[in-house]
Amino acid sequence: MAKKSLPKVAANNKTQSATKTGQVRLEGSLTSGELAPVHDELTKAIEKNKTVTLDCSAVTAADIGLVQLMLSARQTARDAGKSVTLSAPAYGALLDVLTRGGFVSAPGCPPAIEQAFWLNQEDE
Amino acid sequence: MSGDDITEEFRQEAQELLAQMEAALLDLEKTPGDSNHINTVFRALHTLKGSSGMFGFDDVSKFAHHVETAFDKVRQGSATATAELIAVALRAQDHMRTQMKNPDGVDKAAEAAILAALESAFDSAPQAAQTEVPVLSACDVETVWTIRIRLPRDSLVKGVNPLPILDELRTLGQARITPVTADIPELKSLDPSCCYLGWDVELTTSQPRSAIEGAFILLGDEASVEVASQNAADVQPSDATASKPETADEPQQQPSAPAQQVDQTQNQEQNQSQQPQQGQQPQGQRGKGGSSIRVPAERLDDLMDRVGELVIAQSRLRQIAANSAEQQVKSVAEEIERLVLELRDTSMCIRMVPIVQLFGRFRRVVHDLSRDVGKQVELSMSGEETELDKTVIEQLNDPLVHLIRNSIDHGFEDAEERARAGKREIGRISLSARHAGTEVLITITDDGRGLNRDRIRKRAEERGLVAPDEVLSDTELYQVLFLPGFSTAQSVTSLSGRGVGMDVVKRTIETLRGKIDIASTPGQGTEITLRLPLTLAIIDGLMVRVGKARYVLPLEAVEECVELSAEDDARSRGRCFLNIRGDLVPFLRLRDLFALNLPPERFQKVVVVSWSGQKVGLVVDQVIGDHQTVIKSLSKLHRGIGMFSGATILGDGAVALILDIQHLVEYGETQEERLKAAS
Repeated sequence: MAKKSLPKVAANNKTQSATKTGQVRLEGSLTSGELAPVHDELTKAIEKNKTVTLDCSAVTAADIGLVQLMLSARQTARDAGKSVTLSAPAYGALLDVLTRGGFVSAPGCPPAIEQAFWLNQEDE
Repeated sequence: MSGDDITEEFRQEAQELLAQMEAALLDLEKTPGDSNHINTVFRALHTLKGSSGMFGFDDVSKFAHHVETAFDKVRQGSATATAELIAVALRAQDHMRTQMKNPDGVDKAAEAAILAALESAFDSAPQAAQTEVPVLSACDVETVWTIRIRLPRDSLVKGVNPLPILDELRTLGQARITPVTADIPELKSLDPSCCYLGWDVELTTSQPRSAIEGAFILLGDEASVEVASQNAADVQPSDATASKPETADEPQQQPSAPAQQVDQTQNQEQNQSQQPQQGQQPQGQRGKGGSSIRVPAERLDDLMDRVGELVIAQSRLRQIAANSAEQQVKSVAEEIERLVLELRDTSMCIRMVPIVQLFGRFRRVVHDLSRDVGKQVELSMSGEETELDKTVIEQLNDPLVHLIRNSIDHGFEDAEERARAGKREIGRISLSARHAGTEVLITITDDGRGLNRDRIRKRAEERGLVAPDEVLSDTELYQVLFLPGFSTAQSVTSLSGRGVGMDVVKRTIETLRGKIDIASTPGQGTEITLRLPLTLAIIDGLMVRVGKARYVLPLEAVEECVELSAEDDARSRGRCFLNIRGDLVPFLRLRDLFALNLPPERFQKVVVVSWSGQKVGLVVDQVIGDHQTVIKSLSKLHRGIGMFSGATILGDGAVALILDIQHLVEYGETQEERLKAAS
């Protein structure tokens, strides 16, 4: 059986307490069986910070498990009057999942809900 | 559930899918163009392709993809399922079975040859008329469909990936896919391994409903999928498993069909039930609504072992209670006895599996063999629901294959001969199973030429197996067919005729404590009946004592018990024969056989046992009585001792050996011959 590479989910959390902005770096293979560490990291980051930025540039594999985790983080932050944003538009493996799952529309089609979040096009 | 468990479960499901595919291909050969069979084959291939990819069987997935792509031409109506095509598809099915069992040992050259043969079969297959498969042909009118997909929470854990399904929907037409995120909880309550997402899809396509529903084959049984055209009435409530859907394979010429719900399990089961009489492999132990579970066979063996030990412990308790004056102990012992017996019966029931699992395999055997020998033979089956111990079923495959081979190769005449005899051109072989008391009877009947008694007799005489003047009944004579190397075939074929096989059949059936009966009418056919015990784990035994040791004899082999009078005993010294109602029956003194140095008791008994029509008496000191015997196999060290077939543990904790009747009877016969020769 094909084995996936070991997940590298140790998130890189740089908290700047003055501005209360945290950054969580997601990297490696992050499919549904490999998300527990990221889940913990996101929960802590949102607790500690007013704004959390997710760096997804090093994600090599993803599935809908990661997408729903990120959406949950975004909603949790929003409910607490905080925010979760992406440091850059999603691309690569993550964008592939988002496009196939209908989270991001094909060019020329009406934008999907939350598309601005995924493509880092939200108004500041 | 561990990864290994999930993989193993997938392997089992893949085997079931392949069995479904095989059965549908065989059905398709009889009714080419039948859309139900075509769709079953396609669905099995499609599911196998998707799920094997998910579980890391990439080679299987790729190969299934090639076959599926090729078979799609049949589904689309651009090719007809010819006999050649079906033969190649069957080979492909065999290949995938091998791939599943041994992913690393696949013969790539064979794989390439099958794919090449598949391509060539399609090239030569005539183009089918579109009308033959209306079910999947595209409609001219474009329809807007609303599709609602909701997945169970454990979908991701089970390896379900909804993305390929959404991809497939996109291939059908213009799809607007909207993820439904309302069920995603806040981070603290979220389990990252659970699935909280769903999708609403608006699909504009000219494809029929069946094509849309085909995309959902890869979803698990518990997924809820609703497909409705937008000009239909309101969509029904979302509990997909609660309502009976209409079949997905029903032709849907009207794009504006009313809203329907589709439940994957029910669809599949409905398709299965459309061919209930054709020996199709059932859905295995796959139950609906969680009413059945799949359990590894080893666990059942473990359970049976534990129950066996419990039966033994209970009989010890019964003995203790019988010697106790304490009323409460007796009462509890009785209660435990009742419960243990019920538990034993229930456990034995769990081990019983329907014989259709075995019979289903022979459709392919008959199909291949009849093609190989150039004889048209059809197989009919009855009593497939008859249940038999799983151990027995596992061991019956080879003997039955031998018998079917012999029947097709030698039993059936060629077409001309059948026509001369006024028979149907197509030969008929039937397999049937039924319960008879504590036995299951499996009968293989053919309408061939029947056994040639004279030729069998002649060959038996030539080989010195039968004396020229010996009077034998048909049943007795036909037993020579089971002797090693015995064959009356004038020519040896690749299938049979070497005299190898029938002796293996007999040995296997006797190992299972079964018997074989043969009946044959010249010119009309042959009937071979295998008589098998319901279970191998527990037998009714007759307990006897020789000296201080106790032994168990299988009760079914016991004919009668007689007293060995002092006169008979004295008279028989040297020649051990007993006159039982005019018949001379040889007997063995177990005391001598087991080299016991104790003097015989005053009133000895002879237990007359029989095997394959031969009788022998066994002299014992005491007949204790019947005994429910849980069979324990002997250690490796003792397994070679021919006199014993196993052992059991008695109520007092002592071990009693179970006598091997076949061996004793054969030993008795050799003794008799030796004595005859000496006199």
